[in-house]
Amino acid sequence: MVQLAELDEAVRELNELWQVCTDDDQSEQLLEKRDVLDSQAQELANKIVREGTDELNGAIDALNNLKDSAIEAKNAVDDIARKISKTADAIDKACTAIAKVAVLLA
Amino acid sequence: MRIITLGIACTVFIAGCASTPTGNVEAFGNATKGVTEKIEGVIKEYNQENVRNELTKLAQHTSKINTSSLDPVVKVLVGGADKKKNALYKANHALGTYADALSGLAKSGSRDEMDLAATKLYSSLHGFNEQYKTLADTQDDLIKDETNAGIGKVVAAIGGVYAERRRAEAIKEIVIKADPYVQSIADVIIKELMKGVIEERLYTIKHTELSGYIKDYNFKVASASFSEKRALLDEIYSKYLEMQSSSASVVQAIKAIKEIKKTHSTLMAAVEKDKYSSDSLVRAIGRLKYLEIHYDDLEAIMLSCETEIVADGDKGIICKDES
Repeated sequence: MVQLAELDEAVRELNELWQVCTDDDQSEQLLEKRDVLDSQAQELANKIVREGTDELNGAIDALNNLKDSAIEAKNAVDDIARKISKTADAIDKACTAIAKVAVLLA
Repeated sequence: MRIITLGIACTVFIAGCASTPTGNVEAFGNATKGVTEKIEGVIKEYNQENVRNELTKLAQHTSKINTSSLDPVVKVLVGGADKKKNALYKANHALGTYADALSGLAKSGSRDEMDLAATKLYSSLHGFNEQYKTLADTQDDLIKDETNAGIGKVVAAIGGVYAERRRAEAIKEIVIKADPYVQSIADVIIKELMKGVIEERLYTIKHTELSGYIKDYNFKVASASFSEKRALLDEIYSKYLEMQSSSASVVQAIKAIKEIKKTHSTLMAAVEKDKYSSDSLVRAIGRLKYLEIHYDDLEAIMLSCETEIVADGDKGIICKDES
């Protein structure tokens, strides 16, 4: 992290110099140096943010499993209302069936 | 008939005793999901700024460009898109999806759904009764209409009580089991954010962009009128403020994640005692909600700073010893 801070500081110092530089060739040279350091800073930053540990991956997997349990429990609870609706549907179907039988017997 | 009347009485009694309001759990889930979405926004901003930085650098050179000049942009774009390799992204995403699922569980089996089911059941029983009267050629009800309504109510109430119990049990089990993982994942997010990589890089990227505007200003300063220079300075000042605010969202993210840690512990302590609502829980969720609302607010950082506000050379405006 100290290395990244140093690289970033150098990039900003070169930016400061470039802002006031009036010579075109010198300006380009400053930018070339700045771009090299900036790319190094970016690569280092990406490397730092990508570090992950086995412990973290284990915790993520465990939390993901609990998330799935929460979704399953939600569906089970929501199912109660659906079951009542199904009972109502079954009664409706029974009514229709009885009516058909009554027509046949008439 | 007697059984039904007894059923209604029992259900009213049960419903009165077993009420477990899970609104606080839902509020916690929503606020946590909101915070994780904003942290995801910081990661996205970081990736986008990296791409913009390549274009800024390109524009600062005086040489002509060709298609291959854009190769560094593609390299950054592809690198940023690979989120699954980013520890911060993975940890934050896991926390966000957990919070979302918990919130969904807390509002499952809603009273509205139960009432709708009860109405449907009443309607079906009513239809059944009418069918009987037609077939039996009688005006006498098989089941009285008010009894139908009673059955619908009883079923909905029993369903409601059962749903509440199932929901409360599931929340308790999941929150208790999840707490150690929430704590360690939140610690990783805090650690990642405290490395300062994002704010440090954002500050430098914005410094590079600002340099371009200052260079333009210096180029024109001798010949430009006062009003032209004033307009350019407005633009420069706006870019300067953006640069100084680089650490605001990261600092707020750290605060918000610390609050999620604390609130989840408070929630766990509450559900362990089968208490889903308490003053301390409401206060903790309220603090979390406040941080979620004032997330990107530099002014909020300055107002809530309890130490000293300083302009840091590497990170912009920060609250001393809090980042």
